[in-house]
Amino acid sequence: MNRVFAIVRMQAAGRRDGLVWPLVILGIAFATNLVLFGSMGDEMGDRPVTGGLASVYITALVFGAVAMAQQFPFALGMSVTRREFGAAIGLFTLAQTVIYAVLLVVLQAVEAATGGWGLRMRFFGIGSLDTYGVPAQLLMYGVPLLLMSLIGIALGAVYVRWRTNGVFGAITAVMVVLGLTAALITRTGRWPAVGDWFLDQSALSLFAGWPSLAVVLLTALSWTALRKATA
Amino acid sequence: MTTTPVVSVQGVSKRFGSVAALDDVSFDLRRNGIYGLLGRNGAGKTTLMQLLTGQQFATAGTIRVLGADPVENSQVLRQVSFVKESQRYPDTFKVRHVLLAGRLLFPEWDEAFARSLVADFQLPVGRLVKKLSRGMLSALGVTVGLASRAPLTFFDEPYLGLDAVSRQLFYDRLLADYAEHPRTVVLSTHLIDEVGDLIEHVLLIERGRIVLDEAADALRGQVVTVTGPAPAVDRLTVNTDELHREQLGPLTRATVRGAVPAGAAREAGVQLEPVSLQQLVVRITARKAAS
Repeated sequence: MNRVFAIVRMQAAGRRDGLVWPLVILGIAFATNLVLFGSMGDEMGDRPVTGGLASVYITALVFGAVAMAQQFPFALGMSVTRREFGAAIGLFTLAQTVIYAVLLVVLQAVEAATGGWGLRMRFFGIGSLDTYGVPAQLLMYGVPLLLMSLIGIALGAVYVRWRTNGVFGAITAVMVVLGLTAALITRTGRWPAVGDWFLDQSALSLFAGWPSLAVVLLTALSWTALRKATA
Repeated sequence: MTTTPVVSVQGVSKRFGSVAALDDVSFDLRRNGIYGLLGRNGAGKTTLMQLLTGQQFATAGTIRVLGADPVENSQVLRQVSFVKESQRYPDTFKVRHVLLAGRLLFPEWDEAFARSLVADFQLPVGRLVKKLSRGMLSALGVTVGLASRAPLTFFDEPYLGLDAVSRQLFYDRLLADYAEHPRTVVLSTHLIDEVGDLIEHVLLIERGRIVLDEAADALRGQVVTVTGPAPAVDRLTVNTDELHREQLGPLTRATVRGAVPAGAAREAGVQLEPVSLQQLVVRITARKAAS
């Protein structure tokens, strides 16, 4: 276990920029929105959501992919086993997710308490999220973040195992499956049913429940790729 | 314990598709010694070291490192250091991050030794690894490999781009540290004559097969060139293994492996000369390739 923590520390050491940048980007997006909302006064409709939060989720994906593709060959060269590396990157991602989830819950609470920063702006809040308690909010911010990280990690793991062809193959496979599913739904005229299904879901199961299932699947996929990967 | 080999390889093969990178390789490495793993480009040296460090998976055969299978074996691997010429580093890593990784991951890591090597090689600790010159990159690898003090250390072409002064520094530091902290070191290199004096044992690999596994001292006396008139050379080398023969005007020069009686040679006006390790490797490799 000490060794796994050592690898986590090693990953953190080379990624300090990677941990700070999402916050900087988020800060810039937030400041821009504040200025924008301030200049608009009361012309906007009720409580618009800015979408600026997306930057955090996208950077999570990118950093997951980069961590796997670049740290793994180095770790293997430093006599680390695949199992140790997998545990360490999992622990690292989990810690990163918890830190961001806590930060976002706190900022969302401040936003709610200050009436949208005095401008009725919703930057950190999404949908009916503020109607849930803190534990549910943590999950609703954290699980999608974990999912984005794992999409990146899975892509990175496919890359270290099967290289560029594997990544293109995987992306093609996903697009084919999604395309065929959409075609099937269209052909059978089931889009309204799909819409109803989404509307029937609570925000909690939509943001935390179903994504956690995808997290489990991607974790299994990543490990399957990683366990036979070579430097 | 001293009789147990540090590395034991039996009937190991590694295929990449239809290409056999290693073909039925068997050998042992004794505890504490400096081994030269020699061979041409593509002979299978790097693949062999990757198998021994669990970075690749063998197609067939058994590998024991420190008494156990190295694949996914943390107990074994933390005692093994593998400095690879083609080692990749994360883009965001600076030299000091690599040194930190070494300190965190190798139980025998000597920080003071690492610092003195960094000073000797004039390594810029604050510079991004991807901005290092080829020589600096090699110096970083050498620093990690030496300071890790791993009981089993592999150096795969560690001196690409290193200048003569730095290479000498590496040899000197390796020998001095080895004397104080004996361990098993495997040096894979093309610069055979440069490391000739360091190497205690030679493993020569050609087209995925081990073609020579001998103590360096034994080897040096074994191979000689015999120069003189053809009939005399023929007579003297009749019981030896001829590796090479060339004609220099009226003289014949044969490179042979085996005992040539020095007295008889002097009487016949035939000159005997020892062969350098590099010449020996070239001759043996050339003959194996031809046969």
